[in-house]
Amino acid sequence: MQIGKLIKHNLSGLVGLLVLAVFVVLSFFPQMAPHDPHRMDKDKILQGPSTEHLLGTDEVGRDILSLVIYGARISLLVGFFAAGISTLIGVTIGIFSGYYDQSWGQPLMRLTDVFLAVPQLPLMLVLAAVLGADILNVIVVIGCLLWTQIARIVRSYTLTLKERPFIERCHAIGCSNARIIWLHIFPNVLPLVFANAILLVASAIYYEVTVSFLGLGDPTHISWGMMLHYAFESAAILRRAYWYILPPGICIVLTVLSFTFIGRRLDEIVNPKLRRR
Amino acid sequence: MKPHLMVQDLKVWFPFTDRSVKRLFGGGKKYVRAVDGISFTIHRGEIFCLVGESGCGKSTTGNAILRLVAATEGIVEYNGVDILSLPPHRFADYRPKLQKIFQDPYGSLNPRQKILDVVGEPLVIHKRVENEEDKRERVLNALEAAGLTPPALFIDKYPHQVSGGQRQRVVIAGTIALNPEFIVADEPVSMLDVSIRAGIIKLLLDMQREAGLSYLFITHDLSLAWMICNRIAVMYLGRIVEIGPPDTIIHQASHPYTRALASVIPVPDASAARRKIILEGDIPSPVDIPDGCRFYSRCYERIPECRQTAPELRECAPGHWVACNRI
Amino acid sequence: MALLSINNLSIHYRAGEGIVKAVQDVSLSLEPKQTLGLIGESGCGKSTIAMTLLRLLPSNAVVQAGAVMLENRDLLTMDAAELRQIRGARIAMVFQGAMNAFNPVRRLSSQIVEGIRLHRPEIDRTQALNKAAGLFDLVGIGAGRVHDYPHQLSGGMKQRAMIAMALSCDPELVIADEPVTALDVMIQAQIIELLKDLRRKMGLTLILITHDLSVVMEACDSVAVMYGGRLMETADIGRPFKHPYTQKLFQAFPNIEKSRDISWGIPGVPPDLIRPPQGCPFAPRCDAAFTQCRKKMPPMVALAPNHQVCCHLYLEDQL
Repeated sequence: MQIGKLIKHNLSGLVGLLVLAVFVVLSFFPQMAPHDPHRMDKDKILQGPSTEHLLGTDEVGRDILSLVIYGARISLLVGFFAAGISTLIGVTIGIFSGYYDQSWGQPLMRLTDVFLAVPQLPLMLVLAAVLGADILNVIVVIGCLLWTQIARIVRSYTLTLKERPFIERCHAIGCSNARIIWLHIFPNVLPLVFANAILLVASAIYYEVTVSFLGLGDPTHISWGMMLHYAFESAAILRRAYWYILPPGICIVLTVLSFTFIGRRLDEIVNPKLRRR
Repeated sequence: MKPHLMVQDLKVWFPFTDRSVKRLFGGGKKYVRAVDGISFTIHRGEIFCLVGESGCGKSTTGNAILRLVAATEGIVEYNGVDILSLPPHRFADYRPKLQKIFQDPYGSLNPRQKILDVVGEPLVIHKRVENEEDKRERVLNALEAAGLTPPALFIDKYPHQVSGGQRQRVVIAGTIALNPEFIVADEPVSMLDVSIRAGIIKLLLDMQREAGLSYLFITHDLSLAWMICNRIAVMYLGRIVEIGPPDTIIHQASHPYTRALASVIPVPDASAARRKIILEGDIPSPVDIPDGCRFYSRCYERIPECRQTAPELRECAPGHWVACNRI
Repeated sequence: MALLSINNLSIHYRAGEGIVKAVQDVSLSLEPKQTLGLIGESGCGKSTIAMTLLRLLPSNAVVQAGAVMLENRDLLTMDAAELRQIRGARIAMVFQGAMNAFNPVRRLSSQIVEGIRLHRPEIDRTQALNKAAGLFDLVGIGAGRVHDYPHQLSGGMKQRAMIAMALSCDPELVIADEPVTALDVMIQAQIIELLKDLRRKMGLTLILITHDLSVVMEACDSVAVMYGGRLMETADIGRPFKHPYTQKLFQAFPNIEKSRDISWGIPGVPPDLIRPPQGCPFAPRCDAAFTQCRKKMPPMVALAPNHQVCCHLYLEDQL
């Protein structure tokens, strides 16, 4: 009954993993979509669900289901890469500000404080507007603003790691600071980072949705956020075109939740070990 | 014969951030005077013990000698060279010769490193090996020399897969690999089970015999010091109060603190009727150290002079030094 | 009648790697006013027994068999309400690292008074405070410090405060788990003197759990030795030890009254409690072991009314 127990223990994480797997598969095999998402059909504007268009059509006649499937790819892509950039920046700043706490760790902390104090969403919007509506810009902007949380966690963990006897031993055997950071601090910080990075993907997806919804996303790459944007623009609510709003909305919720479940479960697994030490 | 290590007037003071209101009104800078002017000499092949209770500065002394903590003042001469005043890159050459064994076998190994890398890393840093095979062979030899047999059984394991005593042997193997000349052993067995301690002590003594090593053995356990050392120095609040051979320190000490400490050593034999000198209160804070003898507040043999004059270490008998106003 | 009676207690832990048989078939009894020292090295099961007495075991621990009788009630079958009445009031515990067992943001007086009034609501605050102050005098801290915060006391004084707190509800039994282990040798001596003093003055019934045999030799009147989850020997202090492990343990402490040679120490490693050996757990490391030792676990043999050994050597003698 080992498997049964394993499933019960990790239920939320496994559910999240399953849901995420579905979306990942969809994003790798968008050919599964029944229609070309860019094909507009002016005879079938804002039609409800039918046998030909399972989720109906949008205001220019595109198939919603196909749009959702292709949108998965964009949303996940932006989420992963933005979270990746954030993690990279956050871990680097976190480790250096923790390890060099007495010297240039302090200005690094002040920098982190600045980024924390600035309201993130308005800043993202301003940057996105200034840089232009390109998917790369969206990724970079989100990535460069979400790193603060990881930086703080990594910094405080680095501060405790620094005082551990094995780091003192590193000094005693003649390790350089660079060696200590790369071979001793970083590998021990990694498990902590991993769980937080997954949670960060959830945040990144959420911010992408917001940026796109407000019209600053990339119109050539249809993401779920962009779909919501167009839905709003074409007064889908007034026209009672629920099939336009619900599918992307539900997908967003499911994806963000699945990352949150996975990340939280990983955090629980990693944290008890940390507390024991 | 030139001494192996000579410490002269070593001071390690840590600045103390005093957040009290007094500071706001310009009270002078405060320091935790962890080590406050100590001097001793260790000869080649000698096991020299530094004994004292927590907070006396013995660990800080060991760390200052190895430059793991910055000394505030003083000279440490190793084979005649003042190693404290060397620039860092010159001192790096001395690191393989001056090694440390740590107190905590559970915390002193990187949990993410295999034993192969734990023991091999010092070799890699100091460029003692040419390739992976060379490193593996050297590590196997070191593990064997540290009593972990068969070494192949341990070399690919992670620290959490071996016991406390075995971990300590891994740390020792790491020092053996570099062919040290001088080892600072900071409470090497205090966190190990009693039945395991002897094995580690025997290993350290074997290493000393075979390689002619000198040890600075730091411990709070006076009976352990008595058992294995050539000379014992007793520290109190940052200064040395007495130095002498083990039997003298235990049975014929001059300093009142040493006598009290020796009298409360637990003896397993219940029938031994001893007069215990139990000092009252606790060790005072190393921040506001009064003038005069530091032991004044707890001394049961003090004279009026002790309040003003801080006694110096004086040789009261050959090889026996005491810092007490009454001598 | 015995105050506390542990009968054939066996406790297992469910761990990832398997079932850890931490305590196997241990039987002990404690008379009123007796001080028993429970000694053994890490992993021998002594802390598990201490935790069991107050039912403070973690959730993955299972009481496999046995009973713990406090007079005529089995502690292991009590419900939560009954246990709450026992804890602190009839059985009190002094923990290892007691320095950290106090709430740092509350004054000591309020913490001790809380304990007293929980068990004796009829005592009013002033009376409880006076009692606390009196206890502080008794343990050597001084009544004046009863309103201090924990951080204002040194390590040794905090340990004394912990003892005062344990005594505050006049318990019948005090369990002290490694009470002097983390302390300096001079403070250790002070605390041991205090415990001896309390024994004399109050007739304290105490179980002292430690790895340090010399502490037990000084502060207790009888000792129980554990190894690998099993009881090896119980004896009154003063009787020469008969079990090979106890004898070796006795020699393992440097003795300044004797010569300076290092013949102490026991080669080998403690047993694997997930797959414990079939026979005596000490057999692999024992000088005097013979074939029977590895095959079968020896029974407890009474060498005298106050001396029992679990060893085949003495079984043979009897035969």
